[in-house]
Amino acid sequence: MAILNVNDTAFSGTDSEVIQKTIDQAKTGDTVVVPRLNKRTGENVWSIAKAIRVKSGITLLLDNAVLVQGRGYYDNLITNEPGASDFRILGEGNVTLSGGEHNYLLESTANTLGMPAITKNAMFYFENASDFEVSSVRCIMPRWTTLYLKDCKNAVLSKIRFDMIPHVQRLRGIIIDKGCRDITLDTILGRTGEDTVFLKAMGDTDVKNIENIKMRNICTDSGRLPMIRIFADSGNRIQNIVMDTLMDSSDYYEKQRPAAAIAFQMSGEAQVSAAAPNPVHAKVIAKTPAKLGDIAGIRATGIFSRALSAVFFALPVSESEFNGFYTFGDIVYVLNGSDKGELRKVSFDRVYYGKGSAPNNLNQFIGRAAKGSVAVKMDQVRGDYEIKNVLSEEEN
Amino acid sequence: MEELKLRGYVTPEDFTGSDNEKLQKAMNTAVELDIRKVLIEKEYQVTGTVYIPEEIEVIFKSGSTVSGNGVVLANQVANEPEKCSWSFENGRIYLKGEKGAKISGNVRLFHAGESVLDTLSIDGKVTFEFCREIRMEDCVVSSEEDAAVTLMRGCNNFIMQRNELQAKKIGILIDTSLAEGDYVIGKDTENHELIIRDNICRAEKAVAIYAREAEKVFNVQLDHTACDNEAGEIGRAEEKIGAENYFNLTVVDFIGEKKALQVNNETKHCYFGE
Repeated sequence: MAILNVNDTAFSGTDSEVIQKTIDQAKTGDTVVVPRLNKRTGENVWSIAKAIRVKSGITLLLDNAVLVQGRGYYDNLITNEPGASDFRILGEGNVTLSGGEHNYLLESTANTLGMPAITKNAMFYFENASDFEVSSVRCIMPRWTTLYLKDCKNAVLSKIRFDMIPHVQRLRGIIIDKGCRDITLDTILGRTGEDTVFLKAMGDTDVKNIENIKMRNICTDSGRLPMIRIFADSGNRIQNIVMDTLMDSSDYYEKQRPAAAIAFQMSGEAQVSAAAPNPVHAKVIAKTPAKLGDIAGIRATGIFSRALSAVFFALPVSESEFNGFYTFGDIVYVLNGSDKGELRKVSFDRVYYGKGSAPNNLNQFIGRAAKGSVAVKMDQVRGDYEIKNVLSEEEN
Repeated sequence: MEELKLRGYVTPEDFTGSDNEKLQKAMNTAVELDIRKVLIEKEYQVTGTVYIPEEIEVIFKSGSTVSGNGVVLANQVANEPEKCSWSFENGRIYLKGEKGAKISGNVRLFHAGESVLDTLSIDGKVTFEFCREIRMEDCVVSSEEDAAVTLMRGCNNFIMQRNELQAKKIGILIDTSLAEGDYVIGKDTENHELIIRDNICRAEKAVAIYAREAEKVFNVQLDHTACDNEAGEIGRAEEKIGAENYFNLTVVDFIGEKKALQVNNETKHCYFGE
């Protein structure tokens, strides 16, 4: 099991080429090290114009390294060889992965006028990969979603820190697309421009499920959008999702609350609140809306939120449990939903509505109770659900 | 210097002087040359605090020791605080230990952010004051003082997992009334967004959480703590304050406690359990 430092090879070429050739040369069990110093340029940065493709059996160790996506290029920073398995991408120390200067590839410009698919702008793009790990990296200024997984199995994404300023739209943390199963997200920190995690099972071609996703210690500021977004349509299913401790770390001194801790909703769909109206986006009409049973087996505990709604239902959800809502600051609703929400055998326990108990010096928020704000606003949501142990002394 | 850059790390043995001087020069040079990595491989006896600059990784290799009295390691900012500065902070310090490495003495982080203590073995106490976004995992802390790990005022966004903590009185102490350093205008003095789980605490009390009036402790998930004596307490029996100062706390799932968690103060929206 060799350790191959990309600086110690005789390979020539661009930074991407040198790293890639080192990986290509590595054998199963080897570790490829990208150190801080780029010996070829003498700088402490690696400019990546073409995606680094990891292959089966290797560990890519980023040792206090700074990798920046190349200016004007349309490619991921890191992706996998088709079918790759048993690989690790690990950070050590101060690793920074940066999207660099944006390349103007947006969701609105993708696949037009010669522009590639938007997925080329994901910092990490994994498709059809299994048994892999990404850990201990800090991702800044991404060009789109930072980590995108599709048709992946048995993966761990841990100790990942996002530092995003929403200079463009759709700067999400992690998208888990359909076909993914047995994925663990553990200790996810920092600030995302939009959803920190999006479970997305959409579209009527290639119907597949997202199953067995565990999220633990998600402690982020998701901008104005939900921390966790879950959406399915067209027969795709999302099943067995465990969320253990979601903590809103948004700075109540400085910015508006997020839309939700957990939203069963597509982005772009209007979430209209009489108490706190939001700008209305164009409605997204699902091709075939999800039906009861498609999104099931959701278990969430320990939701610490100051969002507009701690949980928002605009989709059918069944056989699920939500325990322990601890809300604070300028929270408007704990449980909320639209007429698209429908529940079957869903229970809520320990719903603590702490609106108004804002931190020190936040006088501008205390008492600024939006009219009509209450802990539970589920009058539009159909179906059967049970709510137990609501502590709410601050209704308006 | 070029050699050090190519090598990718600095060690105290690259310098001469007392152990304190060698360690400090290693830290400072790692930053000056933008190498950002210090390997400590030998045994060092320090007579004063070694100050760690920001954006640096310090790895305590197997067999290494850093020993001294009092605070042996602190972040640079603890040395000469600039008062009245809102942006005053030290960030992105990674302290990592290998099996068999030992720090004998106290570790103090003061106005530190986005930093990590990983797999360290510390014979001494660890204190945090005005720290944010700290991850402390898989560390072993053994202190002869009252508390093994203390979160003093102004600590938020902590994740502390899988640590083994031993002290005379308290394993994990969260107390907003505690202050050692100077206050910086505008800094939040409350403790909040703390995730503390799967720790082993050997002390009279596994955990203790103390707030004071208008300096709350809130948004805390503290669970799966193994202990060999009392689970601990929330609030001081002799000092009652408003319930809103202990807010949104989940403190549950103690294992092995001889006495259940004592809640000495009114609380708000908290969930306590065995």
